[in-house]
Amino acid sequence: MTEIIAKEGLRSEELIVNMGPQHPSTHGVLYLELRLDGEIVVDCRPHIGYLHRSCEKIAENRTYIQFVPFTDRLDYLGSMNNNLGYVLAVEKLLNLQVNARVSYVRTIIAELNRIASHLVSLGTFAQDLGAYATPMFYCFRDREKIVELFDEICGGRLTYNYMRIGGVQTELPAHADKYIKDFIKYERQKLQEYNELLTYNAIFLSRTKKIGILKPEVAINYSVTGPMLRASGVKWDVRKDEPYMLYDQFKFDVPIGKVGDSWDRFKVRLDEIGESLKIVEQAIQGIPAGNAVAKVNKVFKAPPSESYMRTENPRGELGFYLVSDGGLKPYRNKIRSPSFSNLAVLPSIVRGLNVSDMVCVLGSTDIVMGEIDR
Amino acid sequence: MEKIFRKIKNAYLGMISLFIGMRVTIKNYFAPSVTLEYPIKKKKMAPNFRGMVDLKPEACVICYQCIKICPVAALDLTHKQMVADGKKKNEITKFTYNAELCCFCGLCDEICPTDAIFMNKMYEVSVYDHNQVMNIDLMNENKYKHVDANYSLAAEIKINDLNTVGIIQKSPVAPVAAVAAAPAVSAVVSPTPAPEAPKPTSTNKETA
Amino acid sequence: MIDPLSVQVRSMVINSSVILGFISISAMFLIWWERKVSAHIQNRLGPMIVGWHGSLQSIADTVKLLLKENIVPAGADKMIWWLAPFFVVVPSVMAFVTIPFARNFVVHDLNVGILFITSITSVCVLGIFMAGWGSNNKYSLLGGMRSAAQIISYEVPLLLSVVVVIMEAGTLSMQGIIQAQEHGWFILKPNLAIAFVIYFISSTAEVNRVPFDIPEAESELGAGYHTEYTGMKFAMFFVAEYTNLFIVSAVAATLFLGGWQGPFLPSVFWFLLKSYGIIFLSMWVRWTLPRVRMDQMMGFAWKFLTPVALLNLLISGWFMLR
Repeated sequence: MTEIIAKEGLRSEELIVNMGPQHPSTHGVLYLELRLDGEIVVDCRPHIGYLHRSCEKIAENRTYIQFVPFTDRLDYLGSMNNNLGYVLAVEKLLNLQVNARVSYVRTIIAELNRIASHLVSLGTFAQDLGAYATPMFYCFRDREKIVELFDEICGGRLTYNYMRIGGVQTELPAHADKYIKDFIKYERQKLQEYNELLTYNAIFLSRTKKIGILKPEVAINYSVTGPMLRASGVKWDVRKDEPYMLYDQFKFDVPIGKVGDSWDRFKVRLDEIGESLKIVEQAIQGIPAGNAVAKVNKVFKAPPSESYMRTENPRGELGFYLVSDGGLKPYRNKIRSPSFSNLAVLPSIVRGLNVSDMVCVLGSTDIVMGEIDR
Repeated sequence: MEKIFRKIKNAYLGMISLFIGMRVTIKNYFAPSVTLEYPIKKKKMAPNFRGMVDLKPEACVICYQCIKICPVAALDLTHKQMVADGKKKNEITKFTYNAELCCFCGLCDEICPTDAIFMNKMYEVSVYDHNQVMNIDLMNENKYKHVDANYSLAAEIKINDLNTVGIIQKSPVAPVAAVAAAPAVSAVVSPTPAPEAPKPTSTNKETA
Repeated sequence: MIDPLSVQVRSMVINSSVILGFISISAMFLIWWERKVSAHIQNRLGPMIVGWHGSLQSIADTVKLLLKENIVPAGADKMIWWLAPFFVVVPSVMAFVTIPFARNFVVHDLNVGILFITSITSVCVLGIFMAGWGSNNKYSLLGGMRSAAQIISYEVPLLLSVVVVIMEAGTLSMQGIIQAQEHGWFILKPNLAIAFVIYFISSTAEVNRVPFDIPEAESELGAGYHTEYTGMKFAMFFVAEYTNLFIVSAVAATLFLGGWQGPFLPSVFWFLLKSYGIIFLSMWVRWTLPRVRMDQMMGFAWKFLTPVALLNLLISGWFMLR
């Protein structure tokens, strides 16, 4: 680890403060070593690995279908998207086509999960700023509706194990159509409320504007993806630029920010909820009849080849690199997690900020430690 | 002078934004609450809910599929061959379940051909003794009685009949615009050349 | 004809015991009410099990706090650390001397009533500072110093807005101010409405409530000046915070809303209604707005509130002289 010396030379009155691994505002077990000069952060060094569970090594000893529950636990707030990414990677490896209904069901579920994940991110960000739990309760109340639907469909509330190779686990229930349409109407009202309560609030604006500015060149150099990159003004969304499944048939916008500060990141996530609602609306109207369920008893040997599949996680670009040597189990399964790169850019954007602002920036990067440590 | 006017306007707009936020809160003050007063009122779980693993001993055909598919090796089964009326028959000697290792993924439930092993709807499963979750004897009818006194295997089997996990739609209606159904998931897929190249980027019709 | 001294003393003793009883019940009631208000704003229910809708929850919490182990931090300055809770609670209780609860119910209506209240509540700063210093914990010290800086900065706009009321009423005595509102509450006059807003904002900062609760914030590094206090000492800080809240709301009700004046019902009822109404407003603000950063808070006090308060004072004085 290289020593980072502040611009003014070696300061001998620097205070080294350990924030974490247990702290109310680091989201997960993250250990941040801060060097403070008074109250200004001079340097910040994240230490990760407290949640390492050797996921990638485990993958070498599990068959392809047995690994799906493990992908749930990577980014545990967006489990469906992780399942989807892995299953799409395996299908790419096997060159397997699925029918349209499978893609529609997967799209609806993945976008609903994106909404749920963004709601958590917004709620906890507001709580870090001191809006004592009120926006968080509103976000979780909305999220409960999505999670209840998932509970009825697949049986889990946080880790779903829903996507299968060639299909999904369970068919959508009969009342899902009306339920989702009601939810879309309800959530659009609530987005209006969040804008009134938080986005244009004078105190919120003064706390988040111009804080933690991430320049587009720096973001691209650190391979930041997802809402963090889009808030800096770079228009890159895997769903639009390298469309997978049926995303090129849906009409939706990609919200981008102007400056790259924390307010832009918040606003981009809020707008993305609106866009996901549009996608869900189109999908639920155009979903074809057919069969979407794929049975589990698949014991297959994948041909010796490799595949890399990238999908748009709520936090950025999730990639699965699968190498197969012709056996039942993959030879190597490498997971490219978006939060890892997003966290790596943190030291360069918090220099010169107060401690309170650093907490705000950390909340706005929206990292999940399960994904970083795997 | 203009700067002062702008400052006053900003201050005024700032105050108004605070009042608008407060109006949201007071509207929610009078809205009904969404709390379920647990443990006075408990929620019934949906039929697809994944609780603890349970077994219908008479339906098990000892195919070992659940043991092979479990990603964390939480199930343990041994059998022996018995001769009865001149016919050879397999019988389970031991079928234990380690709830500590179980990740509640439901793969054993899905793969069982006779739906013998299934996931019941228990979600209150705290015990005082560690051994009571490490070696649960699935053949015992009263395995969860010490956890929940109202547990009954027959009731759980009845709820499980409504489970829809893994059920393929029997009669799909032929829709207007549908792509041909996927080939039945085959065991071995023929070797392919390089994976297909990604499609070219679609038109970027987006607004800032 | 002034009452003989013994009658005065007797009425003072009776009134003050009633008020002491009221303070203890009020603190418990406020803690319960805060939890209920916050719960309903967040679409929840709050405490429901202990007593009717959780009304005895505060008593259960008090019993729990009494049973907690009393931990003295190592290296703490024992005398100062032990005295700090007293310096926070005693001034709050003393300020109740001149608050008029009803037409004939005030412990002693000093003719410098409002000045007495504002000066006595300033002593609380000393207690907070002592708590921060005596804990031998650099974060508590930071929290204590920030809190002291905040309270002292916001006293200036507070007093400036109170001066406008005093000018309008012509007297410093609390009952006198109420009597000057016989023809209309002070809040209906525009310059006094602005003074009310300034007073409300400053008093929220005085009591260390959101949006000005940096000294108590949990997600910042320091956990505040009362980190090292457990059990009953912590309860004292808590009680002092809610008592202070009641005092500033009662003063606001007296100065701007007409105190105990109101038709038909007994005057004590009107006083309590108005005070608790302002407390509800304060709670409503608390559960809506995010926290303000330390430097923004000081900037707001000195660069915005104080000039506005001075301007308000200037304009009201000019109108009065015409």
